[in-house]
Amino acid sequence: MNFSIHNRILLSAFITLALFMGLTGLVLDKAFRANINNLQQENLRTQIYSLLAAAELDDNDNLQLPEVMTEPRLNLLESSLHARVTTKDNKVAWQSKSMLNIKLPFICNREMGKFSFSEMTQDKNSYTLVTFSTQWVIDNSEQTYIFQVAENDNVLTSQINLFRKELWSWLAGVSTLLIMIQTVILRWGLKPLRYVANDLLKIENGEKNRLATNYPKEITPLTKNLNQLLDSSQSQLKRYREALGNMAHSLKTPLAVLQGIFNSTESKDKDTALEQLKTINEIIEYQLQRAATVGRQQLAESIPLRPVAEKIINTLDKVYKDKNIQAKINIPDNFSIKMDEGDLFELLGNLIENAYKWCNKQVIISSSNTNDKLILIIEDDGPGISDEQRELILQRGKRADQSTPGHGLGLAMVSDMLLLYNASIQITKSNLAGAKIIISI
Amino acid sequence: MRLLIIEDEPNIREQLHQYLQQQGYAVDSAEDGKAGLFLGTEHPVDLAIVDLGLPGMPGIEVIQKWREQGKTFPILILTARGKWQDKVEGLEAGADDYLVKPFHNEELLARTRALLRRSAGISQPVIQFEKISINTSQQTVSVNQQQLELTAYEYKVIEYLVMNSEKVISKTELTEHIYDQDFDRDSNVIEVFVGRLRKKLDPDGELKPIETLRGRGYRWNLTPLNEDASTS
Repeated sequence: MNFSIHNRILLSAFITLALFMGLTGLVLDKAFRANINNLQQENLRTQIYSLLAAAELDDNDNLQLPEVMTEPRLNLLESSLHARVTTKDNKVAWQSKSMLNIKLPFICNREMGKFSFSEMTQDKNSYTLVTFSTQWVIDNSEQTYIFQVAENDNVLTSQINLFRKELWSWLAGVSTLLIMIQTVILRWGLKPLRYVANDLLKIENGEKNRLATNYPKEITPLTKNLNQLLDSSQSQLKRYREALGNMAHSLKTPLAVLQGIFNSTESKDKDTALEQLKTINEIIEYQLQRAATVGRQQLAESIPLRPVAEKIINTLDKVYKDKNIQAKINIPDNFSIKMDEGDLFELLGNLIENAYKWCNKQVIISSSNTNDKLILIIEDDGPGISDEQRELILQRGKRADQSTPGHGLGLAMVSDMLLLYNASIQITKSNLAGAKIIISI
Repeated sequence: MRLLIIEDEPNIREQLHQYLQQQGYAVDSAEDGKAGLFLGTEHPVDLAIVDLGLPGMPGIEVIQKWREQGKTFPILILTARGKWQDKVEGLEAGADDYLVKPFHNEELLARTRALLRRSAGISQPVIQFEKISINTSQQTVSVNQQQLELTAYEYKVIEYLVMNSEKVISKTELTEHIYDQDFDRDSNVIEVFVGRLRKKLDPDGELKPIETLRGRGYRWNLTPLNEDASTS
């Protein structure tokens, strides 16, 4: 099972605490019981001593004890303390008043001069019994008397029960308190980890691009390394794209020169040469675009959609000023997309420029959210794209080397880029009569 | 019309310079951002063609500086990367159009003419003034559907005056925007051109398209028929 650190620590603390408290309880309970038993035995011994002290012989040499004993419990009928004295042949020589209504199965141990303790039960009551045998010399003959005192364990048991109740409720209370403190400590202790997780989530959602730096020293190595990883992947990406851009630049300048030369020479191969140059250029353009497309990244930032669309519209409004195009953006302000910013610019730039190129007067860019997919629609009131063209345009990316001059390279690039984002592109007819490009990402 | 080219690649710069001169423009060129910025700031320029990847000072910065100075001439940017972020950045900085390298010279010319026309507030390539019709893309002028025989410089004078119509243009300004820098400015050749043009454009003397403001210069006085007066 995959417990969280929090649960692991809490569970182990709980088990440890339960064991500790349980053992503590048992030990205390045992000690208390032993103590109380000792006290009882002591008390019973004292009772025997006081009986012995009070016992005397009457004129007929019979054992005599006072009518009223100093221990009040012996004088009461329903009391918990009982005493009797028997002779060797089990004849009762004396018994306390508390014995009147009760029959106790006294067990006898006749070892002389020793206290012996035993337990007995009668009518569901348990008793602790102490027996003390003694020999008195009366008129040169030995007379054995067996002194016995029994105490009902009721009092003892209720005392023990009371103690147990107190003990366990205190232990439970303390345990609960400790668990609560432990939970609080744990939450506090693990707080930085939760912050790391939160930060990572924010990075994943694109709200942040680094972890915070003020973590406790135990996890700074982790966060530092993560930050380094993030930085290095970002800078590597940047280097890679810059290298590609530089390559484009360095290839395109000689191409432009060649094109210029062919433009100004009068040769019968001029058109073929220019055509080939254009093809080379398109291949470079296309492959560079492919290589430079970053694609879906786990830690990509979310880019607000509307500002990018607005920037591109502003740019194109300038370029296509003569057409006086009415562009409308129906994108809610809070829509953002988890995409590399450069990729988003290419995507929207290519699609919107296409619309501007082909439209009559109107271009509409709209967006909606369905089932955690973002739908982006770009439509225009131009001539639209026929079914055969649709196929061709979307397939063209796969065979860029055979590309023929003309339009549609932008759309092919877009469709290729969307593959990397697991997104789909669909070309249909717009209500404005022109093309309608639907991107679902 | 005087164009400024800022391009660090010598081959392309030379080609463009030559090509645009052949097309009848006065052309200045610079090979780095700083020199280009200076030329655009200190010299009369009607349109600038700026490469974005320049040594010394990036093209974007040059454009921004000009716009900060209040220069309003149209700017066409050249970019090798063709990346949308670059295009957007360039146009946000103040450029008006972009061209991705490599390009056809014809494409560049068409964009240049369109930008010049637009900056004069003219949206159509053919401008009609009463019986005079000026085709800015073919660089021809017709009167009553009859195409005029014009020298390259004569056309340049008409074009400049039309593009700045209703403004007073001094002889010096006209010279600066039409000729390359080595031209002798004391010459009265402009007066001769204007005299010839008046005869060609308005043989009957009805329209008086070019007005002379003594001691100040010339002014194109006609308003185009197919233009909305509000666009400028």
